[in-house]
Amino acid sequence: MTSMLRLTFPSRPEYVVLSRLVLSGLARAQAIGPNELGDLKLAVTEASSNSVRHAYDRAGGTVEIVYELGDSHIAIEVWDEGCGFDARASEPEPGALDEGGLGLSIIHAVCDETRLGRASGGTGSWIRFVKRIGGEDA
Amino acid sequence: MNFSVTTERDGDLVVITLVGEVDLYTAPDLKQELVRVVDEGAQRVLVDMSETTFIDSTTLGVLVSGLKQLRPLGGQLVLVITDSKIRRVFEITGLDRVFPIHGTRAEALRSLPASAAG
Repeated sequence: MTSMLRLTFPSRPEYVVLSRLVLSGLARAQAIGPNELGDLKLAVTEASSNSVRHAYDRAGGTVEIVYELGDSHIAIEVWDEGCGFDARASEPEPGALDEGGLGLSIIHAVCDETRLGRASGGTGSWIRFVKRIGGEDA
Repeated sequence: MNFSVTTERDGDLVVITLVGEVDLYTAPDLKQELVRVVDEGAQRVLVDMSETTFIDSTTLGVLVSGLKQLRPLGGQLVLVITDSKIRRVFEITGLDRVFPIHGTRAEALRSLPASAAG
């Protein structure tokens, strides 16, 4: 069985923590191992932080997150009204002394599937990442 | 969300203790503190993350920025990390090869001998 949960918050840094708090709540209802939960919190933080940063250029906006809970996976989609997910940042080489652009590399590393693109209507960005769960003791 | 940055200073040695979750909202506090201590002459900086419960790429960016500030001055920046999830973020990004990472504060302090100027 798959269930969905939706979170919308203003594009401001102080609200990014909410994206992680939702996962803490979901972990009470779904068997998610501590490392799986840690990876998902990291991925959703990276995605929503990117959205918040980009939306700043537009002086506001909202970030929308959809959490999809399956029996053996969690999929998360993050939507924003900004100017594109990491569109301006090339991914640095691992270990390079760059101060930014690591977010997408981290999401790729901790999740099993990642897709990103433009949100419908041509403005804003969208990312979906999936992590299989149940591979460790919850 | 609990978060605090506390700083202890002994000559050119500074220990910054990070407690709680460091993300887009709280990382600027760490950045401000790092910039301040380097501007005030710190040469040996230890960031103790043994009570840090979450970090992200913003946190890494701040630490990299601090390292870039210190290196031209001959300074050092070392980390104390005890949580495997925190260490994993460094490993994923390859930054575990850039920052000296120690398991205890005592070990980290031993790696930072007093400089000739200190």
